[in-house]
Amino acid sequence: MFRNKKRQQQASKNKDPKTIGDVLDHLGKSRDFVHFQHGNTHFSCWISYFRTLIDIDYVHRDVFPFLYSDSIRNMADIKDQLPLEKLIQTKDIHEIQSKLLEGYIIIQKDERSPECLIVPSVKIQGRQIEKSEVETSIIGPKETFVESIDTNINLIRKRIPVPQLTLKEIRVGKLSRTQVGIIYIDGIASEENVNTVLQRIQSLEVASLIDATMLALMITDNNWTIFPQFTDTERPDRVSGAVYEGKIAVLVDGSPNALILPSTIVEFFAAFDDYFLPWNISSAYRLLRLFAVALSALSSSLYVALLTYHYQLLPKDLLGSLISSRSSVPFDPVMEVLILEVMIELLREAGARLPTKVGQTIGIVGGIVIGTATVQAGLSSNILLIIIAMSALAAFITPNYRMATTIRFIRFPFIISAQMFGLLGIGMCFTYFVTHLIRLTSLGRPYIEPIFPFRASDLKDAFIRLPFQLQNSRPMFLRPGDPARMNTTRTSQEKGKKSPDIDE
Amino acid sequence: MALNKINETHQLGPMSSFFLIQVTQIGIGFFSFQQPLSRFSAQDAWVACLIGGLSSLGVMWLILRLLENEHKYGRADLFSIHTRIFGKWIGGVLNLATIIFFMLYAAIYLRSYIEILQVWIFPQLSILVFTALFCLLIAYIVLGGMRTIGGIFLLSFVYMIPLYAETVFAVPGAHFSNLLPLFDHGPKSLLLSVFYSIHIYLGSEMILFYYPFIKHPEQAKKWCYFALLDTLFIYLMIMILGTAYFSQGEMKLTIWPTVTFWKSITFPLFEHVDMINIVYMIWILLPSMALSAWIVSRGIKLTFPVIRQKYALIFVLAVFIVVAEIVYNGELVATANALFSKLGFCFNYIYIPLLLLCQWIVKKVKGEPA
Amino acid sequence: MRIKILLLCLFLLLLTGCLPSNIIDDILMVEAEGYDYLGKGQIMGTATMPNYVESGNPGSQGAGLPSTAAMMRYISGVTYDGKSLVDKFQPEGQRQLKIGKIRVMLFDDKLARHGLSKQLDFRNRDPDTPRDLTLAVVEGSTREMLTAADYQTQIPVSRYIQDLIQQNSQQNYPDSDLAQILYSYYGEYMDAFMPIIQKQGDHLALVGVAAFKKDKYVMKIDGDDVFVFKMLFQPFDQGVYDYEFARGKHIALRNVHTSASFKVRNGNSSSPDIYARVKISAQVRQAFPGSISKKNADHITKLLNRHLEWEARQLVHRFQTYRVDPLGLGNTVRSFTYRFDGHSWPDRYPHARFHCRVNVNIVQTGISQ
Repeated sequence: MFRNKKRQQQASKNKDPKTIGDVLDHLGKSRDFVHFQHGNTHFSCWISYFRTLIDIDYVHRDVFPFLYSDSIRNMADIKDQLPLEKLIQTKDIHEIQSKLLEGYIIIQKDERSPECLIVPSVKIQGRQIEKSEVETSIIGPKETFVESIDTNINLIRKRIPVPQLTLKEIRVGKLSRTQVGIIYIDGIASEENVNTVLQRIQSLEVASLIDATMLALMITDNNWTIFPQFTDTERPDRVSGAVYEGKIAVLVDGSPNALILPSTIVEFFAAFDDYFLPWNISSAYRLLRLFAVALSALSSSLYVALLTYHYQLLPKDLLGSLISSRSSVPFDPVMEVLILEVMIELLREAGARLPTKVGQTIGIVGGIVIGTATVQAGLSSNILLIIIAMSALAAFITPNYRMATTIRFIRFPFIISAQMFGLLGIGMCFTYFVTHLIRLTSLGRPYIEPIFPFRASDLKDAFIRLPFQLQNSRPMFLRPGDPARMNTTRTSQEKGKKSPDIDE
Repeated sequence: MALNKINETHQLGPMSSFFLIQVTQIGIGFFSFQQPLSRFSAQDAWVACLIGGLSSLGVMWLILRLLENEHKYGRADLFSIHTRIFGKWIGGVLNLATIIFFMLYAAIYLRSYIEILQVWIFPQLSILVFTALFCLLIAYIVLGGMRTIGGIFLLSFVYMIPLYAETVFAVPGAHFSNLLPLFDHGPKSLLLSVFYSIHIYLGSEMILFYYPFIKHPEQAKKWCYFALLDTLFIYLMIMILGTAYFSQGEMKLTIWPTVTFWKSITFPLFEHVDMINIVYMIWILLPSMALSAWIVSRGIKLTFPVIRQKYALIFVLAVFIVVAEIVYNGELVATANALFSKLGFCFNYIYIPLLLLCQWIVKKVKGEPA
Repeated sequence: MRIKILLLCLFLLLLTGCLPSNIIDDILMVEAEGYDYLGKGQIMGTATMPNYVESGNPGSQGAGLPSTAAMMRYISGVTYDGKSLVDKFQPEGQRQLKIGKIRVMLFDDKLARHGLSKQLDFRNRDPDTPRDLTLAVVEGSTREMLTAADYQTQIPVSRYIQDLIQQNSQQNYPDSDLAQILYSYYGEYMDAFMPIIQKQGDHLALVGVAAFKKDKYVMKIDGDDVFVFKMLFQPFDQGVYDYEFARGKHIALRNVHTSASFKVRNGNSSSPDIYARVKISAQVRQAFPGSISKKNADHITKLLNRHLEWEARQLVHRFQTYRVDPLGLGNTVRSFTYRFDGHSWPDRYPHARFHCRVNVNIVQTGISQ
């Protein structure tokens, strides 16, 4: 432990550059660092940049011609005449270094002069905005976030054209200095929530930050839980919907995901498509999803419990087919279930890792060939195969991938406790998870909110989605600055109109 | 004192007093109360059930009076009432007696549930293993504080609704003429039944301990009474259904009438609903146990301020395990249950009015300011 | 560290906490039990359990025949009356015998006349017994009924019997599952009854209802009278009643709905009056040609009313002479009488006066006149 600490101290001592010369020497070790003196008759200066980071075309076309022109006599002239809006003149070594590493150009009078002019010339290299692939939807917008934070902010801003939309920026990561943007509507989002988010992100002590989901894990309320506490999404429409509600969105540079905070558990089971369908249909689908989750988490453990301990519960007419399909299986139900579950997990993992084309083949090979062969070889029963396949399918009905993996994982404790105590074990395991969920918080707000603490007004958009005209208030869960979504007096006036009689 | 003011983040909304009271009242008696009630007043047992339930409203009125009077002296719970009225030493002894009473009460409650599990589902279930696992669950809940306990209560209430609703399926097998002739029993046999019905309504007195944790207690009052009426309604329904479903001779022989009539409900996907329901009833047991553990551990902390509630909790759970082990057969469970239902009766119907009287006397003696 | 110790304790606890399992293919589920009385407290018990065929290659049958065809397995043996057959036969079973899915319990008429108190008490005590268990009295040997291999159907005999009884109790036969039998057996002022079945060659048939006095079978209600019995016993809607209004001329009614209501006067007197009012809505199922039309429907209904009233009085009279009360008339009297005198009821029951009014309402006469 001591040695470790000492090593850390030494490392940090070595790092700190003292002068601009140190910085340039240090960076000069990289082959893509360009550092040269430019000089003509009236004026000479030192220019340095990373050629892999800057937009070479832009620099050659728009920056250097100005520098080389005759009108430039000294540093101040550059600042006045360069047609760029954000020129910084600074002596701060740290800033200079970080700007260099972000793709800025540094212009100095002399090689060792501490006074630097920083010219932006960042090359934005990334993919185009593409159709959503993770959270697909059939109707509704198809744009997704990309890896560039500016594009992402643009995608959100054009959906929320209000001056109150506030963007706060924080740099996270001692080494990576990743740009993190916090977006909310001032006046709607609860100030307390905003402060909590800011405070949590600012107090992070990490070396690097690569992705938004990583950030979500770092600022979570409880490190031990398997439940995701913040929604992550790749859809700008979903983010703007949430921001309008009074939530806070967090974007991370280099990540095609946005975080929505705080979240409740029911939001993970709501697809954004739900808002594009009539309320009764989308409510039915939400209930279907809820049923799918229950099925997915419990079906295999119920199979174990019923077949191992509670034969009395099985319907008389089902007994025949159950017993005869199990009669050639040499294992206990629990082994049988575990074999198949692990097999499905392998298939899923292989499907996720393999290239798309091969992945499909593997899916077919695994699903059909292995499934049938397992039953024929007498390793599992027909009925179990159906149950396991159904529950695997049901797990991925969950719109959020992180929640889907949680649901897939959650069944293993259930299976084991079903083997220990039958139905009683399932009951106790269920109790454990429910208690866990009650104790969880998201950004200090209760995680299973519309259920506990019980808020009837928030139930309008939880398990079922009521029509939009009934959803006239923002979720109480968020403690929004402005709870009313619309002018309630006007809506109530409209409601007050007498309903016409037949044929009137 | 820092304890006097409960931080608002640990408090529960006024409506939660509804769930807390309703769920604590429905207990293990739910399985078996029809039998002792109809022993004395046969088909009129539901009248006794009704009277018992209405009397619980009266007790609730007394309890709320007691707590409201105490409210202006600081923290309003039974422990501080004891120490304020009777002084540090006698009050401490009374507190200790209360703690022991609730501790044993909860332990016996747990043991009764295990008894049912052993009879109906797993005759070989090890008491030690089950209680230990169950106590771990309780510890997990109680460590979350009063908020988590409140959540468990709310969910328990929600989860129990299908269970009550499901009893509708027993209606086709019911013979409602069994309820006739109405009011055929004299006051004496009816009162005996009322006495036996009291124990199913016990549990509402726990508000004496968590009252300071309820926000806006004046708003919570009506919820308290609603909760009592709801319990009354549920028990009344089950009582009437039980009377209609069983003939009196059959009722005399049936130890757990509720479970037996669940037995005749079948669904296409599963038979033997009784077994599922017994496991399901873990959600009736869990909140009351968690609340009792919280009350007792908090009581220990308040009586002996040296001990932190966390460590008191471990002690309490250990006592649960030991008591459940000591009560080794069904006979003892029945005896203990009978004893505790009498003690509970004394606590609610004798001790609380006395306490209210003492509070009044102290107020008179000390004299009111102005 | 503390967590590690806790986990260790938990692990040890779980190791000791394993429960004995009943994996469904490692147990033998008794589906039917039969009891034949041999005299002197001895019975011949028979238990059947399905032995699901283990096919060699289950997967290959996925597309073909389902492999659920069950072979039955029988065990019989002599033991004392009241012995649990599962315990008795366990030494003959290669797997655990379990009672939880039992469908049928059969008693031969000798045992039924001897008394069933031990069996009923046992079934009421056992938490595993399902409440929809079917009980029946067999004319002939239960062993023969359960072990015979010459039935026309291929389904297991336990299912055959249960289906037969359950199907018919939706029609002419009254409900008689375990719940109903225990209700009236333990209840005061009423007696239990069970259907009687008989093996007739290569099939089974319901031949009547056995009325019990306490636990003893004392009186048989014939198949023809079952409609009248059910009409007084419970509301129902699927029965068929065949009425011979003149020699060789029949008319058959299918009832759409039947309900009976009772009234009692002088419940505590030595001869209470019981008034039954039965309403039958019915449709004509078959009729002697020309016997019924819109015009003379009234005439036929009047005849029918009087006939059914007479039949009902006859039936109750027979119950009174045998001093059995499967209709629960005593319970009806109790429910109408304040301070009901239960002690003297068994003596007063035979003197009770039973009055019956039947009102048949023919709602349809079919699609032809």
